[in-house]
Amino acid sequence: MNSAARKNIPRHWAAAILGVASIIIVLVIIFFAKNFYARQAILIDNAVVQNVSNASAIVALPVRLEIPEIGVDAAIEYVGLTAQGVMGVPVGPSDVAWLDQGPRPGANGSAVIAGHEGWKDGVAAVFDNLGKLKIGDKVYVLDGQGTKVTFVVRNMKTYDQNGDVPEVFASSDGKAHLNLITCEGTWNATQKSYSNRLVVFTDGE
Amino acid sequence: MAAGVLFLVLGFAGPLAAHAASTPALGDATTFGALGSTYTNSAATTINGDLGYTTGPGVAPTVNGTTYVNTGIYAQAGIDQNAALSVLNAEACNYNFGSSTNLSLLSQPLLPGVYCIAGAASIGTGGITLSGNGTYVFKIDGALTTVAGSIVSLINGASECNVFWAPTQATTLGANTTFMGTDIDASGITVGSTVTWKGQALVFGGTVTTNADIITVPISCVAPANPATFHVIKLVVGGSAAASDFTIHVKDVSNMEVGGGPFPGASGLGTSYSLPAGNYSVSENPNASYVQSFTGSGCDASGNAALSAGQDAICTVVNTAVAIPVVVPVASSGGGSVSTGGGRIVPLIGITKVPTSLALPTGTGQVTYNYTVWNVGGQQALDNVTVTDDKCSPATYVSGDTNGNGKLDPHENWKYTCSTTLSTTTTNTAIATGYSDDAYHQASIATAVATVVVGSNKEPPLINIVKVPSRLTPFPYGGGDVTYTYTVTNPGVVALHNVTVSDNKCGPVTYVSGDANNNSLLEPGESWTYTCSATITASTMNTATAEGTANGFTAIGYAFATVLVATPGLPNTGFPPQTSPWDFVWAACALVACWLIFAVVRKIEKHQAHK
Repeated sequence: MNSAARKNIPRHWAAAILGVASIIIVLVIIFFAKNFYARQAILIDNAVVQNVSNASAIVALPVRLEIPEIGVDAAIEYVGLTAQGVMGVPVGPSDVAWLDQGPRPGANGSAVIAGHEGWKDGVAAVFDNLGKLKIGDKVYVLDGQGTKVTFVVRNMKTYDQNGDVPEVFASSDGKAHLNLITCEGTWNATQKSYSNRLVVFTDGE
Repeated sequence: MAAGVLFLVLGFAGPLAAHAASTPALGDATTFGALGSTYTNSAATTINGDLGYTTGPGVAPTVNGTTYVNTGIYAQAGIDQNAALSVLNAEACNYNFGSSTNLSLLSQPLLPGVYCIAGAASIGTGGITLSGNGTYVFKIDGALTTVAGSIVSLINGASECNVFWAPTQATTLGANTTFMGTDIDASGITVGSTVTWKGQALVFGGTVTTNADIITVPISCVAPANPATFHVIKLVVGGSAAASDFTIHVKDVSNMEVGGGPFPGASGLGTSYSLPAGNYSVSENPNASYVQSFTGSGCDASGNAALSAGQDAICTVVNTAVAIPVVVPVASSGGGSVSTGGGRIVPLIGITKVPTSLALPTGTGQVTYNYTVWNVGGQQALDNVTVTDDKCSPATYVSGDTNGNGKLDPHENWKYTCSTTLSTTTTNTAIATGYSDDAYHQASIATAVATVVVGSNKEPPLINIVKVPSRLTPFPYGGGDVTYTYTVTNPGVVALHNVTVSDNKCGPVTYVSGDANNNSLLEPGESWTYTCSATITASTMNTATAEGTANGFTAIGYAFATVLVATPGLPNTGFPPQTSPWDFVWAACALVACWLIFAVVRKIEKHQAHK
């Protein structure tokens, strides 16, 4: 009996460790699956990337925003200004919004695209990882004619939510820029707003 | 008068007598980077200039110029080289050295003059420094050598165009030497490897040898047949810096400094460059306290100038203090209304300056400047009005505040005055600033430039320009079309010809009306109108420049105007903090893990209990 029990102990331990390990592995796979598939899709897209030099030529309306580094591949909504003169935001967490009163991405001037940060009804927001971008990372905008315009991250800056920021919405160097905006900081329940805005400045390649 | 002229002559003669070195004419040899009967080259060499020889090299160099193989001006260049050498040899010595001399061991820097060395001359590891605008001639009765890595430095206006070496024996430059000037040496010139030489190797009748070197004939040494005159003016608005605190560069297409620069910035009519026709760029060392822009008929908004032969062109480098918020951000959300910037109106101020007198024919005398300042915009009063003049102080308020409220109201003309004694012809710049008396306290700026001539009865002209944009309130985000109207007047006493108006952010500026007698002269009392339209997408301050000439003088005036474009507020892109679905997964996972550990521990305990 004793010898039988002694034989059983390692078997029980092995089963237990195997159980815990497999649960962790399953979780890790689930956790990275989303990013994995997003990256796959982008890799395929990259195969047909056409580098369109910005130029002042007429640029078609933007359709999708792709940022491989942070797994973004989002549809672009069009927004204007709110009654308070503030840039509008996309309806849901998955899309981004382009300010259609400004230049189109790829045209001369500063085009602006905003996306949410945080969770909404169980879905992660598109710009959750915007802050992980690094200078030199690439951002792509696909327009309605299937042309892909490439931008390169130049700078990242945090502003107060009420900041006066002409440099975000305007430029005078005659070149194409795309500036990406999302929230960061602490949530103010009264104002229903985060304290800061993160702006990623990119230049047309 | 006679005493004044005598003084002037002596004043110029004095320094010339002290250092009589003069630059010889090189004739057809002027453009040659290397000239020799035999040219030897063993590795990739670049000659930015012409090359001439009879017997060619084993390895062809890159020649950014013309190669004359015993053709064309080759023979004449040789004749001119020898003529220049004769001129150098005839120049009287200013500094004598009795034997072979290491020039690096002399007290540095070396000043312009003729250095006569009765033996060989060398440049040691310490190199040499030539300081000052003048001619340097080194007459060497022996060989000229430089040690590897030695450097000839030029400071304070010294130019490689005016440095000459005339050894009676061979010249040998060590590897990696940085060498300057024209070396005329019939005994031969051997250039060590990877030498950078700004100047010329002239060995007509002898051998010049190079080895992976760069020889550049400075374009400014090539005397242009019909040079352009390029005035580069420094205008500083606000802050504590003076024009001379800025360093101005004028460079040619190969990015080489021209005209002996860089020079400290100069106000008034600036620094005058005599340059061959061609493309140049004006730049300055950055100063974080100022926003820089370029204006004037002679350059574009980036400071690029395309000069044609004989042209007289002006380029002004304007620096506006960052502390004066000329282009104030306008947030749409700020005023609570949509895209109007809260009813803000841009203020505009104007100033004219008239000196009494414009000419002091008998020499040194007193001049009184009378300034008139008015409210060009006329939409609100201007507060904190100041008038300063860079060459007369203080400019004191005389009259004009009719209601005594201390503010420059629409239709008021405020008079200021300042007196000073001038002994030389002087161009000075007055600057008026004022701020809107509303909550925004926006700045407005105007300048007035005037020249007073001393020692002549020819009165310099004056010109004034005022610019009013068609929109003084901010455009909504996205901007819009604006039309600028320019009014150009002549506050002086002589009629102006060749009047031009340019704008650094709008073009073309077109003449509308005002030349009442159609004689193309802007006469005192006439008011010429110009216009220009542009699409503005971001808040912009632009500078217009009016120029005209008379009696051999150039008159210049500037006008500044700001057009504002509202900026949207930042979007509210954030969801209220919510529990992530992953949080539930992780919690479940933790529970399972805890249960498993609990089960394992229980098993072990059971097992031990059995024992």
